[in-house]
Amino acid sequence: MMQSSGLGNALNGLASLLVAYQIPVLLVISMRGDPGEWNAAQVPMGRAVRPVLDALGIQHLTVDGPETAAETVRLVSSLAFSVQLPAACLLPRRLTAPTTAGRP
Amino acid sequence: MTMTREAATRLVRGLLADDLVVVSLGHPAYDLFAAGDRAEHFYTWGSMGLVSSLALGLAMARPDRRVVGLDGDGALLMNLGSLATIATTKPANLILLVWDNEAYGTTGGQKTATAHGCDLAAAARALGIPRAATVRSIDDLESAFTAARTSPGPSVIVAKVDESCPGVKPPLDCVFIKQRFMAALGSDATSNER
Repeated sequence: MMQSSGLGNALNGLASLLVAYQIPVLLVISMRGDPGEWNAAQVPMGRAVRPVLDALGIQHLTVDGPETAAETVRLVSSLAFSVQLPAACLLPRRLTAPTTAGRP
Repeated sequence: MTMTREAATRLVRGLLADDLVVVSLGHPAYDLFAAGDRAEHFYTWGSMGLVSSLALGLAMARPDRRVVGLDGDGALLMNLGSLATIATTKPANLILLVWDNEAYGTTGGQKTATAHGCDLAAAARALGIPRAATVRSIDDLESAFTAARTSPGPSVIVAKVDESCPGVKPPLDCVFIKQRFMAALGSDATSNER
């Protein structure tokens, strides 16, 4: 589990270890920088998450809401182990952040 | 300094028994392969800095096996926080052995911080791993590694070594390395069952 900012820190390990060695890992990434973000420093990496995952060939699904979260996580996990690659489940900020503006 | 990394690697290779090894990319991996290949060697070809984290995860997942992380000073300096995580989780079956040649040997020998006084064993102790020491000779390495293998860890051994020039390289096929390693662990790398 990591934040979108943590994905930025983890990229070389994802690419040269997990993808290169075909090691399946379920990544659960809580997003920053998507609509509702108050911290400008979170926006560039947040907006880069999907293009970066696509560039590495790491498939990803986004959780729609609390009702479908468990099923989405199961699907992504199953995908990771069947293709022997990491796969990512993205949690939009609107599902994880407090609604009051100005709070982290 | 009184030992090359190649000689130190050959000594350690002879003491491994059935230990699992995760080795840092570049010259440390080349030297381990040259000292004698085994299925229980996980040779990294990238992910510089992550050997201590990988070895920690493996030690936690397989408490029934001894795990040796063979790291380099430059690589460990990229991921010092890993020592604090090792100190927090305290896997008794983990040995982190750091080849400290005070240089980025694989990329041309640029000096690392340990050439300027940075003490990795002291850092390990300060971060919460009391069993951490520096050795400077083959005899002291043998004593320290044997002691680490026969008593509860985690242990960190920083071995001051001279750079050597490995003449061979491990297989380049990453998936082959993984599958062979998993088979040696008794895990089926091709199974979808979890």
